[in-house]
Amino acid sequence: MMMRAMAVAEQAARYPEPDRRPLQVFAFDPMVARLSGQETTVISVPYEPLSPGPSGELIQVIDYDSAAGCYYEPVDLDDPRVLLQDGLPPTERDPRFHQQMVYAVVSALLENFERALGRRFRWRGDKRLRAFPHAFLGRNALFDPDMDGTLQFGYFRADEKNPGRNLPGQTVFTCLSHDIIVHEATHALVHRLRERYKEPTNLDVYAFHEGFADAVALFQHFTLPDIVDRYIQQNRTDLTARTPLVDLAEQFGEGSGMGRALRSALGDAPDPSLINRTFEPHRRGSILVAAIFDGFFTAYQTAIADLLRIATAGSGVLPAGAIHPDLVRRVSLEARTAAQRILTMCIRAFQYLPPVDVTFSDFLRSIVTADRDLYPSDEDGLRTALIEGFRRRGIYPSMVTSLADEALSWPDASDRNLPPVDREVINALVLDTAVGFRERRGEAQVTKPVFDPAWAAAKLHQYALNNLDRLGLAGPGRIKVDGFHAAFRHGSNGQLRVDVVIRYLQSVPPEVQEKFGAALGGIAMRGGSTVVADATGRVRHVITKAVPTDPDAAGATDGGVARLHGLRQWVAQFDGHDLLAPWVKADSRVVQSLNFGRIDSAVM
Amino acid sequence: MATVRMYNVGFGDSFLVTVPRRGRPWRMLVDCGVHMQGAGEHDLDSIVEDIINTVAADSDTRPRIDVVVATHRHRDHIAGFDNERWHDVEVGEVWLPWVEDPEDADAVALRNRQQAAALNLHTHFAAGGDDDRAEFVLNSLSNDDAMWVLQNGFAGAPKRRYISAQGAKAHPLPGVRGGCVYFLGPPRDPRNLAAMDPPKAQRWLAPSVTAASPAAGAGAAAAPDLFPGFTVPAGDFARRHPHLVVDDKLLASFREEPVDTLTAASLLDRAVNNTSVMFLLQVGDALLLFPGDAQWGAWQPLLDDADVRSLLTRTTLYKVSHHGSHNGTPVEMATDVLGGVLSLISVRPIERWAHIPKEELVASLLTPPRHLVSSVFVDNEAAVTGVRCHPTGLWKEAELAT
Repeated sequence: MMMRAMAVAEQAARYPEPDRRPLQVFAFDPMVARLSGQETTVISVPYEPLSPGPSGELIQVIDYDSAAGCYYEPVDLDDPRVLLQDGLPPTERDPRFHQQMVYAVVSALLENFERALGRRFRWRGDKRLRAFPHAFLGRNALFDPDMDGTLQFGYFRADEKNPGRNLPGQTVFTCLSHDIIVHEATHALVHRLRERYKEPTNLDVYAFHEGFADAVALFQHFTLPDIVDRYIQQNRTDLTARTPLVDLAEQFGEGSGMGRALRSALGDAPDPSLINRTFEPHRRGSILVAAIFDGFFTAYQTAIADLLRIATAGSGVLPAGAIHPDLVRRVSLEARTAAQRILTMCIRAFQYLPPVDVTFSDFLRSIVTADRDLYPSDEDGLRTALIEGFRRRGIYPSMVTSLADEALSWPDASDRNLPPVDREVINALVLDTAVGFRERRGEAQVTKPVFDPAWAAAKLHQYALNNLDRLGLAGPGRIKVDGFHAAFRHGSNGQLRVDVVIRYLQSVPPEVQEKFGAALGGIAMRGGSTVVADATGRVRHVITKAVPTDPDAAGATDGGVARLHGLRQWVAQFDGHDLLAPWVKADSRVVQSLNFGRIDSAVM
Repeated sequence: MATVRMYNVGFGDSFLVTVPRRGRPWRMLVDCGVHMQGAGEHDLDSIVEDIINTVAADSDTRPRIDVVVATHRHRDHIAGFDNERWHDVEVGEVWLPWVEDPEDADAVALRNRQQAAALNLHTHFAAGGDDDRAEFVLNSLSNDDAMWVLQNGFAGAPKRRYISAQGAKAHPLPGVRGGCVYFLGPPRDPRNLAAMDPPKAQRWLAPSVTAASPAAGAGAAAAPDLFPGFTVPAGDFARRHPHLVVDDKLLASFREEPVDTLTAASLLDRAVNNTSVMFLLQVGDALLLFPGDAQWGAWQPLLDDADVRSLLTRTTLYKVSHHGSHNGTPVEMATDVLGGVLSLISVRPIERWAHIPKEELVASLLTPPRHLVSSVFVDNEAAVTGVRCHPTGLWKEAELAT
């Protein structure tokens, strides 16, 4: 032990540890790469020492093929011969490249999330996310929250009759599609941030999961500078042209015989009533994606208007012919900045999302609140563009008086008269987050954990019990601390902003669940609150979902009765559209019909 | 005065519409079949016999039915036509959905896709030892003998009409004074065809696809060659990379996907249901709506079409679609569109399909001034005037003012 520590110290003294690890990947997928002749790229992910797999601190790739019943040789990314060439070169024929691509894309995504969330990411119970690049033979890929959170990628033969721009019958690997990897990994991330969003308690919950995953996958395209440059040059700054940049999973879509990309950021023409007629989670999610991208395209156009005018002597109209490469670079930078900013807004929104029963409206309000915290004045008009995008797609915030910025923000909690959150807990959380930033992944923790999570959870639980009504946790049910963390972020004025977030979950008593559960198709009845406090413990916002309550029960609250009513209405609507109902048990029909594996297989 | 007789077939449909006129009455038979798992107390043969005897009593010549409608190919709608007695029955016209047209290339392609999906699913369930589900899927497989009779059989060289949706356009109904018919489904518009397409190939298709098409290679058997030279047997892998070893249970779970198959089965079921001939029969002031088994998806274009929608509001008799299933009748249809109708629901509870018929729908159709006549329930039917029952419960018959 001593010897080893010395050896490590000696080595560290000799060479500085690198910060980044460059890895080659397909920018989109092998089909797009072949058609464009060159669409592979190098992405740089945070360095961590890796075992064969690759197996790192947060992600582990295990290449087991259930169709063949065998494993494939794992890649060793720390082998000097691999390191010398930025990882293995992109190919469909070497499974070790497939493993590398899954690792690289998920790592880049995790980094983006950490940056936006303002804290180090950990999986529940410090487990690792396990990804299986060739899990099964099938036209699907899925995130399975019930199997310990695994990512499973299928592979299949392209359609014989309508293979699109693939070879008929060629093997298509879902694990080589950048978008599918990001989509599924985002499911895992959303699941980590809000576990209860796997419970379909209204029309939007699954649609949010799907739409958010698609939006993240599309925005990740904009993290690749050379790719964005190329399409800006090619389409003369028009991002709304149909390119792989704004399409999702082209090879998968064409290989499945759909004749087009799986989905796209370019929705149909805005139609505010469409959302009332759309029930299938992916399609409903697409409306969310279209709304976010409407906002993005507007923001982008605004951001480059001056550049175009400068480049065209004031006219703003580009002359025919190629665009100057300098202009391309500048425009591309604006596109990437706007994309990153909007993606960050979307991820930051999680801080304010309720622990259960999310709606598109909650999401919009959380985006606005989170962004206003950091950029109170919205100088570049991004927030306005986003709000307008949502409005044009018929996603209206509920219970607000106007579409103005401040009306959309979650209300301030000062009138709730809550006492400050326990100082010791706040201090411990803040310190823990600060320490977490200093440590590199994959290294043994040098400092001892600064606090015992069980101690903090007990304190926070007591805080809830002392303030049930004021935290929106009235009504019968068991209170559980669902999660707590601190987050560090930079505001527009360069100041550091520290927030502490606590989530409470409230489940109805077992007898109530028993009474209504079967009629609700097995949906668990829960409520909860997300509490956001500042570094002094002062509570700034409380976002609540009342626990559904039986109107006949003692102590029924209006909010709780309304939640139960809402649940019933949703189940009735679901029954009207779901086809599986006759095939599954009536008392668990909703939860059996709606799960990631099934809804992804129905559309993907 | 017209009558609609609902035969108590069990879980299935068979309706005889009679319009009296001078001389021999006008007769229309809508479907004749029962689900393999929903047999009623009267066997199908005795019901066929009663239908034929009933129409035979009309005149001294051989039995005649003016129009036979087979709404769609599900067994619970056509099984009864697989019976030799139909050879001697003279039929004026046979109405079938356009998807049964042997000379329509689109129809043949669609049918082949549905048939292939049904066969695959059946093989899948049967191979897994799930005979019960296999039998359910069999309901979707075409019943060749019954279909032969509908396409080629009957006496009197009937004309075959392949029906597709024509919107709110009235078509003449020869032989019925003041009568006409509106064809509301199945749609031919490509935009609405998706509701009829069988489920896309999924994981459950993989093994049988390879069995059926050798050109695709040996599928699962070929998988070990996916990456020649990179394969590592499980034992070696565990020894060399102990840090990557996972629970066998997790690995085994990759192979199974039961819900996926059920999705496919239900999608297929709906796909075939949505090929149903949907029609509105006008006899004087009476408007009789026969939607077959149309489910969610087939109704949408109708409800979106203002003319059709206003036509539907005038319905006086409603044959409840798909035996009263959870999505055979859109909520909108039950709450907003239908007025004070008399509904006929032909169903027998099947254990697996516990919520057919759906309680809320039944309750809605029972709310006065609406009436409901069902093959199983007896409540409040006494209050419905003009409903006759066969002494042994073989059928119930509603009379309609025209």
